[in-house]
Amino acid sequence: MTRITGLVIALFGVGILWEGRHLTRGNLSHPGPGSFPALLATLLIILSLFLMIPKGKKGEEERTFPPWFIFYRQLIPVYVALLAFIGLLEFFGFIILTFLLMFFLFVKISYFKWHTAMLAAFVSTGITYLIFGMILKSSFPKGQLGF
Amino acid sequence: MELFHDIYIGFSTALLPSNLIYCFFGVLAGTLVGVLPGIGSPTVLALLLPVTFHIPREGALIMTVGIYYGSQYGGSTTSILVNIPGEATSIVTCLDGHQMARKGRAGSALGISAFGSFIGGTISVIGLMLIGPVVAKFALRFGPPELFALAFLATVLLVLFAKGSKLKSFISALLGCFAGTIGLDYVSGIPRFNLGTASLMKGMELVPVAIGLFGMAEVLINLEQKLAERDIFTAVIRGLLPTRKDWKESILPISRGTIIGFLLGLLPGAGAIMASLSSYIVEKRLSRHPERFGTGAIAGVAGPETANNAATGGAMVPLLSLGLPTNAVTALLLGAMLIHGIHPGPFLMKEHPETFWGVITSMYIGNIFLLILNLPLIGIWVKILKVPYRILLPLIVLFCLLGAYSAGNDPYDVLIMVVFGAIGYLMRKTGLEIVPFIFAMIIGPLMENGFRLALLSSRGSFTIFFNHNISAVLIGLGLTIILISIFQKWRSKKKGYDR
Repeated sequence: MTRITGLVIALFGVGILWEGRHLTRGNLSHPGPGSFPALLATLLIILSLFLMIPKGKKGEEERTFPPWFIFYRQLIPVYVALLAFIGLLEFFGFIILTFLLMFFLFVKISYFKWHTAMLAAFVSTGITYLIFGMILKSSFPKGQLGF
Repeated sequence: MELFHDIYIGFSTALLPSNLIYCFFGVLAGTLVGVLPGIGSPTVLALLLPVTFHIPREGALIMTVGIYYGSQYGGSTTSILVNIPGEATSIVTCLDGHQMARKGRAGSALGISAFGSFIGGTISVIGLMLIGPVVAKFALRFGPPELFALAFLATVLLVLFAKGSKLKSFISALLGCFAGTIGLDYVSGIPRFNLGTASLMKGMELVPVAIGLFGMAEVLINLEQKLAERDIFTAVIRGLLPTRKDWKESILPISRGTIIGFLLGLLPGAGAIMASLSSYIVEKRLSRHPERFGTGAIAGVAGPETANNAATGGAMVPLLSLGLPTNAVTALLLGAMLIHGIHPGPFLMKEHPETFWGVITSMYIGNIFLLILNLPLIGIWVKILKVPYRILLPLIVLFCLLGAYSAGNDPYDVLIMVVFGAIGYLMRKTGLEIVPFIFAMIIGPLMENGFRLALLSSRGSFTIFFNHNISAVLIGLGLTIILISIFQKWRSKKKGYDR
């Protein structure tokens, strides 16, 4: 895993150099806007090489990833729901979408039965709207339905 | 005489009814966070930052600072009763605190922990009041080379004191520095790495990034684990007020913990975790009965709990006087100040004395609130501990969404939060520390601007960094620390090979 991390960081460093190729680097007396990011990218690439070098002995204990089924049962559905929330926010509006998201999360994470999840989603959405929308006057997007 | 006048200004701000309420809510939220294991103070501070956008400047800062030191109080409750540290700073409290609870002395452990925290927290505020203005006056001499040197030394210390691999921490800091370069360049005004989008032109906002890295990543980490019920101490807790014997055994550890905590709190990266650990080691070394440590020695609770609270006062010195955060929480506090149009540093005391002194004096009041909250309300904290994680997680997700959205009323910030949630998860899994990242994201622009402006004024000569006494000392110190740590690593490797 450490070597893959090193490779990803090295590629990221190359990406910074590529994306920053249009920025002026200047010289020592007039360092341009591209100089500092280029320095950072170079250091990232050099340091990532140390991560990629295989170690003779066992290195520090690595934090392992969970089995794949955890990803597709727990993490991916939650993330898809969050991305859907962002994508649909302008269309459905804050209240409806937050209620739906919370209903989903209470069922998926809290293992609530559908009626309990619905009640919990209703209460949590209502309280947050009361605090943020009405007391703190945050302007949440109103969807096509007008709320 | 001037100090008394400043204190008067501070108390007249902190004692306003609205500020008392904000202070109370801050320490209450902090204690709650400290009590709940797994939800760290940076997470909750990141989540609650957007709430503070809607309240007046002084109140907002008093509340956010309250969350910080309040969380140090709450962390001990979980360590003592559940044997799980509510905060990383309370890890060592588990060793003797939980053993005391098992022997029926949970009340004494909680009591001495609350009193020690109160004493450490209050005395460190006195230290902050005495040292802060001196450091701020000294920092008035700082120009670009000194600012660069200070940021350089702070980054070196942060990497040095990082929990895991130094190499990975350094990489993390570099990534954070890069994140800080996104948006308009301060010197030339040219947009950098905005991927052609207008939203990234202003740079990445700290709040959604912090909420993603701390809050959302926390949820993901918890989601993959079995959300087991916690084994909570169920016996009735009695005798919260320490006995004369308890005081006799604790007074010296509390005194030493205060000094250790305050001094280590001043150092970037060291902070409250190292303070509590160092205090425990010192107490064990100085004890006539070191064998009692780990089996329920009250000194093993009193010292570390005092030290981690004293460190909060110490950490506020570089933040308020130099504008330099020393850990994740003070980095977020710096972010909160910038959002409210306050630039902490040497000019803060002159430009906003009511804010500078108001925040400091509110810490006295907050510490009194905490003492009141911690002792009589211990039963409520125990009940809160029983709330299952599976119910808390959806609510944390909701707070993450609300926090990220309210930061700028922009769905784009929510997207940044979600993306950084995934990045935070991957960083934790691969051992890349989040604290150096967030620290460098804030301090990176200061370092870059200091570096570039210094070179501009010296026409490209690096000698500018060594011609100025302060920057020469700071850079020299940073380089010496790097060389010593490389030498130590080389020596330990050599010893390993020789064996």
